[in-house]
Amino acid sequence: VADDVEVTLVHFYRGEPALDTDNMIKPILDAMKGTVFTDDRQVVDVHAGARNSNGTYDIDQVSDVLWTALDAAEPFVYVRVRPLPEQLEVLP
Amino acid sequence: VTVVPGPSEARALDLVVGSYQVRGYDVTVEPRASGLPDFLRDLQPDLLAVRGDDRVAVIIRKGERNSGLRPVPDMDALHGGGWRLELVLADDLVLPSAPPEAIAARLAEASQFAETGHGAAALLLAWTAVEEVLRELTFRFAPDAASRRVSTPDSAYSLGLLSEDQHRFLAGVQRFRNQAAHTVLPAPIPLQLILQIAGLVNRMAKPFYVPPPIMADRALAELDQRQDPLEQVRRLFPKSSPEDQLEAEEYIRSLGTDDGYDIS
Repeated sequence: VADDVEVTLVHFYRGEPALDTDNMIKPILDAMKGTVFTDDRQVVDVHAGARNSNGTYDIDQVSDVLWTALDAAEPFVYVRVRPLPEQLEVLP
Repeated sequence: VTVVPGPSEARALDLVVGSYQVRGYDVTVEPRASGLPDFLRDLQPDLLAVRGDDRVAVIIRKGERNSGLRPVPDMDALHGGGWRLELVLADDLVLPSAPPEAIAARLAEASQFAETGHGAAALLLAWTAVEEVLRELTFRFAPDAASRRVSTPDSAYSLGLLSEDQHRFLAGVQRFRNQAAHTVLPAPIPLQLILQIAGLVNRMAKPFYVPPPIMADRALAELDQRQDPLEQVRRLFPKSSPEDQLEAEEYIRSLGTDDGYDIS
């Protein structure tokens, strides 16, 4: 990807989270540098969070890789990279 | 809590089945592959739930075995066939729950403590059974809220899992419990209180227990004006105890009386 991007990271954990959300962001972005994007500066927006994976998922559409992770019922990190939206929503 | 993988998985299935049945779905558990359309056969759903036009294939996953073996679902085929897909990751939801026999044993032990003058210990032990049963009711009847780690009488009441009387009683017990945990109680805990807790919790722990407000909501949805509310409740929930059926009727009639519990 050559353009600016927005990255979303969600750590789906079982039991208790294995790491703090802020500590997972940089290693994952570093790992994507050179493969998904070329320069750190392309990553303009980052959204990150953690959720207990237990619960009910109403599956509407699912990618192969996400299904494999869900069906394995093991902890995983969901990563989405998409072109930077034109507008940034800022709550008042 | 000791977890035995096999029974726990079966228990997760029971809980999910119950959560659909109480919402009025017809449930088929572990449907035969030969009777399924192609797009469902490979997915090996654990249950099918049907209510009117809403048809749901449900897969329950735990991490221990057969992980990641199901093919990626063909969502277009599923939707085209009028189905939707739910995946339940249930491992941690099952861990906290103890079977009704274990809860009954714990409450019996609490009663023994009370009989021998160890009222505070009895109350603390009985309270763990209350929390356990509230957690399980939350999972069964309010699954969207089941990720909450703590189930209190207030939260259960706000989710419609307790009748007004049950909430008043358990909130009172919770206050006693907190006093017992953090201070010296001004008076001994009466055995009668422990027995009352045991009676209510043992009833709630039964697999076919349905909270009276939920019974009432379901009955109200189908109630014909000419029908007696109690008869309707009995018809829809024949396995529920007479006390719970009556509470549901009271809820329907919105009379809210103090008929059960004497804590205040």
